[in-house]
Amino acid sequence: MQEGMIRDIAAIEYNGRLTIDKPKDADSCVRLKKTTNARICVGRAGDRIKTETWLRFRADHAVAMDAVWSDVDESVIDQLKFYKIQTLAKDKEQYLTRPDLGRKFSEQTLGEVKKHCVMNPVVQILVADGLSSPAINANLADIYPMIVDGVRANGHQLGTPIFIKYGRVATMDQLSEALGACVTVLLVGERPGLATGESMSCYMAYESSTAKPESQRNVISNIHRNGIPPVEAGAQIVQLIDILLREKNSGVTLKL
Amino acid sequence: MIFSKIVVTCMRIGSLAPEVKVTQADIIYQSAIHFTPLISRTEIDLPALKTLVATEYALACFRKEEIATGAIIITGETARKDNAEEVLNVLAEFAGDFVVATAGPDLEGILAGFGAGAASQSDFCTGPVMNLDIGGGTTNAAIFVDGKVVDCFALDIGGRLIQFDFDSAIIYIAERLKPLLQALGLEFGVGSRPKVEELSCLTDYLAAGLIAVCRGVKVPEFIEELFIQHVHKRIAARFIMFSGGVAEYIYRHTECLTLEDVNFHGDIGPLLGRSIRVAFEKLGHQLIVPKEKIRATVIGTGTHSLQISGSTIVFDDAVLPLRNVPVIKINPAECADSGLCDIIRSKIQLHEPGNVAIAFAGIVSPAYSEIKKMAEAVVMATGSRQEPLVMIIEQDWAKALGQTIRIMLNGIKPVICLDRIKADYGNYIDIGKSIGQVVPVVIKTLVFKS
Repeated sequence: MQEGMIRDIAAIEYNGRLTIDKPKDADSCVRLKKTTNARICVGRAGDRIKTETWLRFRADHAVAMDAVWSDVDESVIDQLKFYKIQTLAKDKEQYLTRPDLGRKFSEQTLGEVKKHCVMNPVVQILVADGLSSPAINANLADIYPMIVDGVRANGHQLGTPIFIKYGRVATMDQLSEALGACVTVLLVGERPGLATGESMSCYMAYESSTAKPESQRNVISNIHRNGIPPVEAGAQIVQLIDILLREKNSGVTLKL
Repeated sequence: MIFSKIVVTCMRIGSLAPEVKVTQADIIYQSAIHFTPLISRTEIDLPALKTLVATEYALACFRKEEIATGAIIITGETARKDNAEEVLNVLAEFAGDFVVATAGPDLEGILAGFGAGAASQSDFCTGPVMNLDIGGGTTNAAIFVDGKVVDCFALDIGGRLIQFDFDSAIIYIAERLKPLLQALGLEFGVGSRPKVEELSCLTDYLAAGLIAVCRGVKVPEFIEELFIQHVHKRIAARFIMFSGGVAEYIYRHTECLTLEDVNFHGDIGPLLGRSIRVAFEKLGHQLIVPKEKIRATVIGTGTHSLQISGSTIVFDDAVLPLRNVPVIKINPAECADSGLCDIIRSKIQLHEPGNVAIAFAGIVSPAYSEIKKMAEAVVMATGSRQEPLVMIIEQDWAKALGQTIRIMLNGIKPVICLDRIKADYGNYIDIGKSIGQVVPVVIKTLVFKS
C-alpha cells in the first residue's frame, strides 16, 4: 500500500465475508451470505454494529451518491460517434431538483436534432445519463455494438445515435416525435442502490409519444456485469425490436 | 416408471428479460416395480419390455402424444447388456419423442441421491450428505453439499452378486467378487450351499468397506478394486443415508439365521443389508432415513434428470432434438488466448465426425470484443464442418454469442447456443425441442460405445 493512502473498503468482496467474532456455524453463515446482498452475519460490538460494518455501509452509500453526481465520460460517447444534446436542466443540481426540466428540450435543441440526425429511422437509439453516469461508462461500449450489429443484420435502418445529458426516461417521447422514429430504444443509468451503482435500464416503445401514457414502454432493467450482462441484454433488445416492429405495438398492450 | 406434472413458470413477468424455471414437479402416477425381462444373462427381452411399458401407459391413462418430454434411464447391470443401446433407442421412440436415453454409474448415483432426498437434506444442514444406492449389481453414491453434488462414484457391491436357486444353492457369483472371496478364504462356488457365517464374512467385509468410503478414509485393498471407472474423492460424510433395494433391509430388522432366511429374493441382498445395519450400529452412527428406498433412482430421474436452459438463448427447432453430443470445454484462459481458434479445432478433432458441443465456462460478463473474438474463433474452427453449431454457456450470455455467430454465418448452418447449463469435458448432452422460450437439456456422463 502506498504511503498516506487508505485501503478502499468498498473494494473488498463482502459476498461471503463473515465478520462475526466467534461464529458457531461459520459455513452456514457464509452460505446464507451468498444468497443475499443484505448485510447479514456481520457480528456486533456490544449492542451496536461494528465499525467495519458501518464504514462499509457509508462507503456503499458514497458510491451511490457519486454515481448520481458524476458525469458520463465523454470519450466513451465520442468513440461511438453519438450526437450530444442536453435537456432544459442547466446543471446537475437543477437536474436533480427539477425532474420536469430533465424531460424536455428547447425548440432550438430539437431544431438542431432535426437538422443533424437521420429522419424517420426505423430504429432510434438514445442514451441518457439518468441517475447513474457510471452505468453508461461501464456498459455502453458492450451493449451498443451488440444492438447495432443485430439490428443491421435484421435489415432495419438505424437513426443517428444521440446522447442526452441530464436526461430522464420521458425524453424519448419528445425525440421520437421530432425524428419520426418507429421504435425508440433508450439506455439510461438507473437510480443507484447500495448493491451497485453501475446498473442500466433499457426502455423501448413503438412510436414513442408524449401523448401516450407511461405504459407505452417496455423495460429491461438490472443490466450490469453482475446482473444481466450488457452483451446479453443487447442481444435480447435486438429480438424485442423485431417483435415491436412486427406487432406495431409496445408496453402493457403488447402480449409476448 | 413414473409420470410427473412439471410446471414451468416465467419468473420475471413484466420484464422483457424473462427467467423461466421449473417451479413444481409432482408425481402423478407411479408404476409397480418390475424385474427387467431378460432373454439371457446378456440380453434384454425387448418385446416383453415394450408390452410392460405399454401396459403402464394404459394404467396411467396416458397416450404417448400427451407426454411433453421424458427420460428413459437404463441403470446398473442392465446397462451392460449386449442390446442395451438398441433397447434404449427403440424405447425412446416407443414411449414418446424422448430426449434422454442413457446413464452411467455416476449419474445414477446423483439421480438416486435426488430421489432419496439427500440433495434437499443438504440444503437444510451443514456438512456433506451422502446417499448410497445399493441395488442388485452396484452401489451408486453421491455426496451433496448445499444442494449440489460434490462427489459421485460407484462400486461393484450389490445384492445380486451372489444368487441362489430355490434350494439355496449358489447359481451365480459375480466375476469381480472372486479375488475377494479368495482373499477371505471363502471356498464356496456355484452349486454349493454355503453357511450363513461364510456369507456374513463376505457381507461384513463389504459393509466395513462402505463405512470406510463414508468416512472418507482409505478403503481396504479389495474394496478399492470394486470401484467402477474411478475412485472417490474421500470426502467424509456427516450425514449418511441408503437407498436402493438393499436399503429396505438396512432400515428394517430381519433375522438372517439360516440360509433360507437370507434367500428371500434369491440373492444375498438381505444379508448385505443386515451387515451394513449392524456395522453402523456398532459405530454408533445414526443413519438418516431416505424419502425413497428402492424407487429412489426412478423418482430422482423423473424429477431431476432434465434441466431447462436459460431463457435468452438461440436455437433452431428444425435440427432438434439432438442426442449424445460430446462436450469439449473451453476455460477463461483459453478464451483469452490469441490461438483460441486452434485450441477449439484441436479439441474438436479429438472426437469422431459428428456433432460436438463447445462449452464455455467461467466468464461472468464478457466484453463485446470478447464475444466477437469467441464467435470468430468458433466459426473459423468449424468452417468445413456441416453439423449445426452447438454452444453451451455456464453463465448468462448465450444469446449474445449465438446472435453474433448467426450474423457471421448468415444462414449457412443452424446455430444452437444455450446458457445456464454446466457441462464438463467428457460429458454428453441431449437437447430437446423447445418448450416456450427454453429447451430441455440432459447432461450425461456416459453413452454407449458404438
